[in-house]
Amino acid sequence: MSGASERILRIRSAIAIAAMLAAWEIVGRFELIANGAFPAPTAILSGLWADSDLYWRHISASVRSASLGFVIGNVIAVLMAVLFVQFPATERLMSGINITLFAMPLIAVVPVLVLAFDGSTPQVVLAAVAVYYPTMSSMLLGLRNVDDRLVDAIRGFGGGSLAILRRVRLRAALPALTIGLRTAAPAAVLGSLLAEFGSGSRWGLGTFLLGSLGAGDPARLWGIGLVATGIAGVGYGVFALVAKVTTRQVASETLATSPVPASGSREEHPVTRFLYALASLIVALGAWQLLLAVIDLNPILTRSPVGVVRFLFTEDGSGEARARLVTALGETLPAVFWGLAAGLVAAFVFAVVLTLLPSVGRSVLPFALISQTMPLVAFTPLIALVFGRGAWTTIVVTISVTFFPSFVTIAQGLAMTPRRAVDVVQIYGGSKLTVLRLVSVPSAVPYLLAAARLAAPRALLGVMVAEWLATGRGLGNLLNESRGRLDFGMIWSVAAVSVVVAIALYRVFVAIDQMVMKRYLGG
Amino acid sequence: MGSTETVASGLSVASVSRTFSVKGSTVRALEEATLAAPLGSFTALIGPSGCGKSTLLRLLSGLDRPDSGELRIGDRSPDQVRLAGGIGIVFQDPALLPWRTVVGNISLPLQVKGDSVSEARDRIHSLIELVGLKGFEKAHPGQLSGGMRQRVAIARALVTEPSVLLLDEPFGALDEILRRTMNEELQRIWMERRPTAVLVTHSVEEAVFLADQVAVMAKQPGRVLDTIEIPFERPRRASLVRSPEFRAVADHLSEKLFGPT
Repeated sequence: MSGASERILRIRSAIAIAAMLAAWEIVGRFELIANGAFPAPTAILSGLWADSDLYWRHISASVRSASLGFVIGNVIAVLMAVLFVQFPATERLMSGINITLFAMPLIAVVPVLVLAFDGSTPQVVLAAVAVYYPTMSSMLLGLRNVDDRLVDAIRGFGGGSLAILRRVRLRAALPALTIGLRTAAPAAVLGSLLAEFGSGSRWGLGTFLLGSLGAGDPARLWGIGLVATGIAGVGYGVFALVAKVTTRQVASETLATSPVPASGSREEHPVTRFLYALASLIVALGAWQLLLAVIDLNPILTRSPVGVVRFLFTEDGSGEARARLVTALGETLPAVFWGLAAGLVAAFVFAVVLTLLPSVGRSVLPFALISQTMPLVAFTPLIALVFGRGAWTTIVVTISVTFFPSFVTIAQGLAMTPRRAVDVVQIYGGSKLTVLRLVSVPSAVPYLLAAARLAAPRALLGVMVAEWLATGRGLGNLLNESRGRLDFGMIWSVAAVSVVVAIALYRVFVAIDQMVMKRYLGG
Repeated sequence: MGSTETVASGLSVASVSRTFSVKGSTVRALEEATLAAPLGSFTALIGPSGCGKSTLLRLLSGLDRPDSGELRIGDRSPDQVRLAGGIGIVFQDPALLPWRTVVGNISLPLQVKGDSVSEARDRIHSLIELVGLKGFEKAHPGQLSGGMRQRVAIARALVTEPSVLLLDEPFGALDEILRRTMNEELQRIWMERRPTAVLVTHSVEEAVFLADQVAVMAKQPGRVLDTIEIPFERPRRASLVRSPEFRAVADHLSEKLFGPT
């Protein structure tokens, strides 16, 4: 694209933003929507200014715990990635834990963390948990995705796997690591906010948000939401910049030629595979047991894996506990399904329509990227203010957490529509719509599937947050209630069941993906 | 054939110019290019990168328009011929849709045009046989080798029974050994259907082996320097490449391209 048209594009998006702000100001001034749920931008700003002392104390508390968790989580993530690449079997043994940390709805373990730790430790721990997976997976990909020829060269000089790690892998993984950190920074903010739910800590934006829920001051809710987004956005921006620099330095021709070795895809005896799966499950449950031993809490407060099973199946009142859990699941799962489906369909349609209007698409994509850094929790009360405390709020929250990441994934897929295939259709007089129907939409299907896989755990988190904060139904609410009633068995059970549900959801989408792709590409 | 047809019913390119502006500077991709190809003939365009051969092919396909000059296919414009399904094109990248089978990929042009695929079933199957892919009708591109994928692309280009076949370095991504086989195959396929063919290539041997005439192009600005007739009888055999006559023509062409040694 030439410089002139880029400038026009920039001017156009500036005008669009200005128009949006102006419209928002008018809507806010005259309380046009939902009785003032959209206060004017100037009202939000003046609220921020008036309470700036208060904001600062909450902000610094959140930033402190998020940063500490960010550092701890990332150090662990990098060390684990190195371990996995040096000893591939460890990755398979740890896969149960890794997938748990990827799919787990963070909010499910908040009450457990609050039971186990004092002060701001839950926030730090949850921030660390939130950053682990994005950094670890990115780093691992970077460590593995090195040029085979470089590896052979080091071997040729007599170097072992440690020399390869030191001379090639670590350096080559730098861009991937920074990209992982870029995703991890907003995740750390989200983790530290969520951990303040019911933590009783005085300072922090999550505490501030909960405390402002009943105040009926939309300007403050907006203020907190925007400030949280700002912090997450700054974290993202800093590492995006670092990522840009490192990517430029390493982007030489010899790199990124060899495909990622697919460690799981090689032919293997089903028994071996089953044993590995079993071992990874045992490792995950063992880690749970080990953590309990390390924390060394009063046994009344904790439940081991066996303890959860007893609570739900053999103890007195297990029938009643089970019934409550099943009822909650019956409320949560349909919401996850509908929210996820709506979010994915909307993202798909939006992405496809934007390929017909490429200039609009180019100006929307940056916003979509930024919106991914938004800590959704912070906006849930506002959504509840507009849509009420019923099912609509749950659906809207879920759509908003699934829509943008799915949109970005699908839009990137559509952007990679093979240029020549488009030419072929145009040769025979095919219109833009024909290109869309015959080429773009089908070629976006794999990206839709990938988006579904990634969005499913987010959808569960979105539903549970909405349930906790607004609707008073489902797993999220059960968790909140059990916390209030000091029903420790239920707290641990809901956490465990949510994790199992999240993993099952993810597995279902992986299976669908494999099935569809097999048909799609023949085989 | 060729001899009894007039040039007017083949392809004609008359003083065609096309410039592009890239980041503020102007690139003269083609300047006053002139070329004529009789109906049913085979023309090769050869020249260094940036000599405008792919631009010329794109203009002939009707996907792009010249700034000045005129292109005709028979008595119609490339655009008219294209919309009537009269043009088939093969790129270096076979550009197959990975989610469609061989039959599905070959049917694509018919679906775009709105023609019935079921009525064309026999034609599609005889094309699959023609390009040597019998037995692979239900295979997906991911299951085929590079040469086989390019065969599918050729069949797809022929499915509308075009009068013009455009080939943009169709075998550029294949290795030398496979490339020679594909050249022989292409000659056979082309001789069965006899569309007016234009091939863009970097290879002197490929041009001499396949073409009735070779247009030598130069860059900055892109233009047609000279057109050389290739006299060999058809069908040409693979052994022809080793004959002194072939080498003489190839050397003559190289001299035009690289200057006298």
